[in-house]
Amino acid sequence: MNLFMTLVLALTTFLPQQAQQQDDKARQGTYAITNARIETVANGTIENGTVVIEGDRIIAVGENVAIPESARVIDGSGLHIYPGMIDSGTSLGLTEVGSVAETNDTREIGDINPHMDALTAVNPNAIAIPVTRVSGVTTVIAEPSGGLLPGTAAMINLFGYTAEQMTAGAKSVIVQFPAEPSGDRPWWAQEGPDRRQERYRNNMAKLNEVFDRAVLYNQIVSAYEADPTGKERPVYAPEMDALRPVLSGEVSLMVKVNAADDIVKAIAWVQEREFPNVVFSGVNEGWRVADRLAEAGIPVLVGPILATPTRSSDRYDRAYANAGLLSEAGVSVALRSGESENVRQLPFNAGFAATYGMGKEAALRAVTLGPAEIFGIDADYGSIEVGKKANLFVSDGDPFETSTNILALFIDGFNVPIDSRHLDLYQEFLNRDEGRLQPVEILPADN
Amino acid sequence: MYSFRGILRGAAFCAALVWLGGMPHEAYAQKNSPDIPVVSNVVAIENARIVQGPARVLQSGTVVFRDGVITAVGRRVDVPYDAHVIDGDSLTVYAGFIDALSHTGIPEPRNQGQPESVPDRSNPPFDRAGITPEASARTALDPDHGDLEKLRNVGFTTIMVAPRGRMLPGQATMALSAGTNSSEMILQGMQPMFFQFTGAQGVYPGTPMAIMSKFRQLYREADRRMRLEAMYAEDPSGLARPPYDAVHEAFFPVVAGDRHVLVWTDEVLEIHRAMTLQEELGFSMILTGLEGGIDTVDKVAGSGLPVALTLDLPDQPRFAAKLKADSLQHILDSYDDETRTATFRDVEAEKENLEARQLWSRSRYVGMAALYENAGIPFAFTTMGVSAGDVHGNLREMIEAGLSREAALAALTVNAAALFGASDRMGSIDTGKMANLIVTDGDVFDEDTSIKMVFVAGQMHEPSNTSLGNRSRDRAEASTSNQ
Repeated sequence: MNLFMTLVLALTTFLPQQAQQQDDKARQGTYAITNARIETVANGTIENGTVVIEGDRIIAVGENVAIPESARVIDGSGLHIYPGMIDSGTSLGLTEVGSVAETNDTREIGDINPHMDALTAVNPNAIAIPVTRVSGVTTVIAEPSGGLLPGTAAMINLFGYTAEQMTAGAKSVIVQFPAEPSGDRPWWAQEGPDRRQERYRNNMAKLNEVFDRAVLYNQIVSAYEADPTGKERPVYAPEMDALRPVLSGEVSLMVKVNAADDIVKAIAWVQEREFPNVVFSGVNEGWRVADRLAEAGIPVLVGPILATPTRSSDRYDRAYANAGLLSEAGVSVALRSGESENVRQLPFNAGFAATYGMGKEAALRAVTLGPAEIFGIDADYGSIEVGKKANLFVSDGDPFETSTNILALFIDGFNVPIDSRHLDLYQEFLNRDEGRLQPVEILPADN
Repeated sequence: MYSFRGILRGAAFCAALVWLGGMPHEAYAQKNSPDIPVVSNVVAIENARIVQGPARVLQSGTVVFRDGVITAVGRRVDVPYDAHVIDGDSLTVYAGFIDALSHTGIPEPRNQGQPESVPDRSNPPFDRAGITPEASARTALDPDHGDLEKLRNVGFTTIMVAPRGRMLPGQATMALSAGTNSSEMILQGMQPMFFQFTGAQGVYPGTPMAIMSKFRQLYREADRRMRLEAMYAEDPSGLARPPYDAVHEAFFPVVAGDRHVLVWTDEVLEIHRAMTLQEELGFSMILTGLEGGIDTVDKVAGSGLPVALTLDLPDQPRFAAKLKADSLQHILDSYDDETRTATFRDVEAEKENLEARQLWSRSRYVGMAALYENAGIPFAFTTMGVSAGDVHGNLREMIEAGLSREAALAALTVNAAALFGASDRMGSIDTGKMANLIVTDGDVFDEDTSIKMVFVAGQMHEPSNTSLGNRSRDRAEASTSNQ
């Protein structure tokens, strides 16, 4: 309750300041944000500096920076500049209203859909996107779900008319690693342990068969591409085609796995198959096997952090502390909210991780440069450095605090208005004015 | 007023809904699942021992097949670039077995209660009399029937499937032992009319004599109707319309000599009855079963009829179950066929001689296939009435009793293919034939051999329990499932 109240208060307090700054359209241009405290993430903090943006890039960062004449200056006195936050696991853009089937596009029918590219399903006009930007989140991974290979997740920027304009250059093929059922029957299960074990084994066998065939497919198609003369055209299998870049390491394999035993099995599995580019996602019980993950050198996308512990015997704070424990063990960590309409809570997920052991600096890195590095897009994203994409925001405090307001936000150099359905409704009903000639008394609904 | 427990229950319900929603996709996931895309239609088994046919062995060779057809076989063969290569080192490849007759894949009729009574029991409607020769195994085949997998796992890739029923259940069809639907399984070619001496329940024809009469009657009526129809077709003016029914029409190709009659016999008298009918009426016949056909060897040889022998053997006598092979042989050797003299003075000796007689009697059945081989009769094998788990054990017994391995293999492959006019498509490992193959780790008739893979029209199947050795557990399972 407290958190919610604080949020409401936060909205109400920063609105009036916002009203004047609002612009109808997001625009690229030359901007200079001056006299602000800059969290570069890559190169420490600049206490009083300026960031200059031109087009889609940051062209200058520092204390003494020449401001171009054409620049529109935003006075950042007393304000903070952060790189735009990256959420490493959401269904944003793929779902609109959870309970309305027609608006949900996260799941394809069937078990094996690696060729289903989430990017093609992203709705650039999803209501939840502006709602998310308000929190300082500029980039997210939109991931499909369901089945053994639910599809290909896409890293998207939260601004653009088309999905293609939104792409942030990274993709990842998801594997839902089969979870081995425990010996005892959960209270909701209709099936006995044998049946669930059998299904687990079948799923594992199927997963292995998929990748065995993918290896053969890759071998055949590569041989054909190298020299097609005199060869029969190979079979075209889109599913297998989507797995080729995974085998070459060009695209990462995102293994979704949570239980400690399953994580250990998944580590052995990816090592045996020698996947060159692997990340684990979810990893709720990662803290139990943190040293194994560190040893294997597998980066993890941890979250949601705002969750209850996985076992009733766990301390209440295990989910909050998970990311910190992993990070401490030397695992490369990024955070994910696992949310759709509540991706806006990513900073608060990070805040909890920070408080419960991870520390502010590491938590900030885990929602900025960390994921950018894991997905190989750190040349463009993740920090405030010259030459990088202008994905950043201006706030009046630490964004992990619920009381902080985000005052300006740039994506690809577009100065995106801080606006959302939530704020529109708030403003509309704060001062009700139907535009009548003669204001009428507003009667209670039950008159 | 909401109690805490009520809220919990609501949550449980929601969780159950979520869980159910996630169910169907996971439920049937497995390795050979059809939703895993096929990436290559070419398979090459390299450096394997290839038994191309009976007494045709390549000690080390390669077999390649594409789209279910063998494209190359030999010592030195170019492996296509897009092949799924299987290292055949220490493996042996055989042509897939052909079952000359069984009901495998045809579901048992569900309602087996008391048959309905009819007003005139001496002249019941055709279906009540078990006479439905117009029916076809093609429409009754169930690709998910569990027996198909069992038979496939012991090496059978092709089956002459006959519909279930009584005297004339319908037309049989050649089918593969695997496929996602019946269209994938059904093979072109011969669809013989299946005929057996199984009488109708409580109505005519119930006895062997009645069955023979009924067969003659239907055959001759069909013959006459065919001629009537020909006359009517030529000039219908002024002629009464010839009567029509599906049963007689199904007989037309039999009468015309275009359709074989596949006869099942399971005792020596039935063999004689079937051969009598064939001699009288002159239709093309394939004689199957022949259990107890020990004394009909000469007659069958003289008739030149194509035959398929049963793979079934009588059960071992109870006392023999615990004895070892050499002591059984010892008892068998002691058998004295002079049993007319009462030996009440020595009851134990008489008992022993009668036990020896039981063994002797059974050994005649076991040795029957060897008799047919020695008489120079080419025969196939049928698994009708045999559980898949018993097939290899029975084959081994027949081989011990004198059947040559070549003849056994021929019966399971080339002879069966010839029986159904499919020698150009199956029965051996040759270029151009269907890729129906068995891959084993040894001689297929040895007890310690396992079947590693079965290819049906080029599609790989890996049996989960591959050993061809002791199947007593299988038998126990089969007998409980039959109850």
